[in-house]
Amino acid sequence: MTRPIAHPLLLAAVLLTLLAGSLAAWAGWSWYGAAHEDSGGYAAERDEVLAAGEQAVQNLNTLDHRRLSGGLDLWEQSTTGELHEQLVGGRADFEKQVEQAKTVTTARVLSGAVTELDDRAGKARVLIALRVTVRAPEGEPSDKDSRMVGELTRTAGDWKLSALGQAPVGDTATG
Amino acid sequence: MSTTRHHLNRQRRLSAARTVRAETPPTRSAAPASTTAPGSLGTLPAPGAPGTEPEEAADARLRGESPQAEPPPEPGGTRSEAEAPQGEEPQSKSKSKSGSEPEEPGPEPGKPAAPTAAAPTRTPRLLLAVLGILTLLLGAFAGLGFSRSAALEDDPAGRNTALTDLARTSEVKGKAGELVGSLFSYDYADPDKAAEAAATLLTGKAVDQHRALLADVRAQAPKQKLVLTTTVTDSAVERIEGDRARVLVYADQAGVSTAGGPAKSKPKKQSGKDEQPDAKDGKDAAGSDSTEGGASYAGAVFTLDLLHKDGRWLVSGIDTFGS
Repeated sequence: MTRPIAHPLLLAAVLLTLLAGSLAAWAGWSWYGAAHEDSGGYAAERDEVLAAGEQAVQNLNTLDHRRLSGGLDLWEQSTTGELHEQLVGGRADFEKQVEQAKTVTTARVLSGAVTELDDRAGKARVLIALRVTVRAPEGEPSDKDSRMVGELTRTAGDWKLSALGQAPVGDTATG
Repeated sequence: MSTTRHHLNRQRRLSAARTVRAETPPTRSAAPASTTAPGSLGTLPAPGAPGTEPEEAADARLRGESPQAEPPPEPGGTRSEAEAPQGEEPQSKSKSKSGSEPEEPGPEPGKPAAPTAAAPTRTPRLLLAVLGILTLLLGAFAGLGFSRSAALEDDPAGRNTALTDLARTSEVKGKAGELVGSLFSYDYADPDKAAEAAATLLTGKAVDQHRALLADVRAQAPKQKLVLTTTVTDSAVERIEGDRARVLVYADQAGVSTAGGPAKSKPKKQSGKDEQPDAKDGKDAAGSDSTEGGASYAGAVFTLDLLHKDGRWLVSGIDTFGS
């Protein structure tokens, strides 16, 4: 210190420290940037919506007549709003139907994607292609593919289905 | 041997005298630690009397190692550090270094081992230690920061720019609609148009996939005078990563056969099936096919992989979820 020239090692150490300091600053900056990037949060929300939508649509296409109560509870847990009310309202009748038919319905998501996402309003729209397999006591199990269009609403931090339907056919075709 | 050493020593002495001057007079080694230390250690926060002796003993020991760590071509003060081990034999000859003889038994605490030489080194040592720790901490933080930011940027959610890049998303959606219209429509009267579309809009494995999907349509279209028109009714972009994208497509296939009334709906359905067999089956089962005004409609579902190449979007894969 009193003779700085006498300590090139010290000088080198200071330079190294400065270098490490600037690297640390750079790293901190890019870390902060990556963590607070808006599109990152939006992208995460998009993926969350898709995951919730796929799970909910699958839930609503899955039902085992031997475990009706649990299955229908799951339907109700996966939904909100009008769809939820419809399911709750129609539950008793539906239970009877399924008990008589003794069907086991399973579903597999073929593909899905989010078409719209308003993360402020907490609304989203998803397309989910589904393969539904119905096994009745008699006969072969039947597969059918469904082109579902779902609307999700964020409730208490969770995304739940608020509307679900099949994509219409023939509406927009002009020949 | 002795001559070179002597020469070296003289050089050291001269340079030391030049740089060290008043602080280190030729007789410095004779001075007790307590008197020299304060002078050269003025800036050190802890040159306290109680610690002096052991510390300097430790310094002397450390100095034994120092020549390896420090760059060799150093004049002045650092040279004096380096003398400690070297100076053992030859320095005894030079009078200014006479004091360095006691350095040999460095570990002995009682003898102040070259206190003046130790004094200037203590400040940088402590500083070096602080700087070293600081460097390590900063370096560790930098490493952590970079790895975390890389992890965040590598996050699949972040890489996929579907919806987050709205312009690109709508571009991909629009292109998917155009491509589906061109690739999955067929006019028996103008087969070249379909062939050209297939030749220019497909790449990779999509070429074979498309050929297989349209094989029956191509075979039957002339007989049935079939005009198949495929229109995207809804689509959603699953992923966009740079030049690659994947789109989930819901499409209507409208078939018009002018060959005969009863044959109409069936061939159309078949053609639809050929394109998207599973989707078609599903639609049939779901009852989503409809026949209106002599044309039949079939709903199809499939995903398209798109590749942006030379400024154009091409279809690089078609998945109809066939089992």
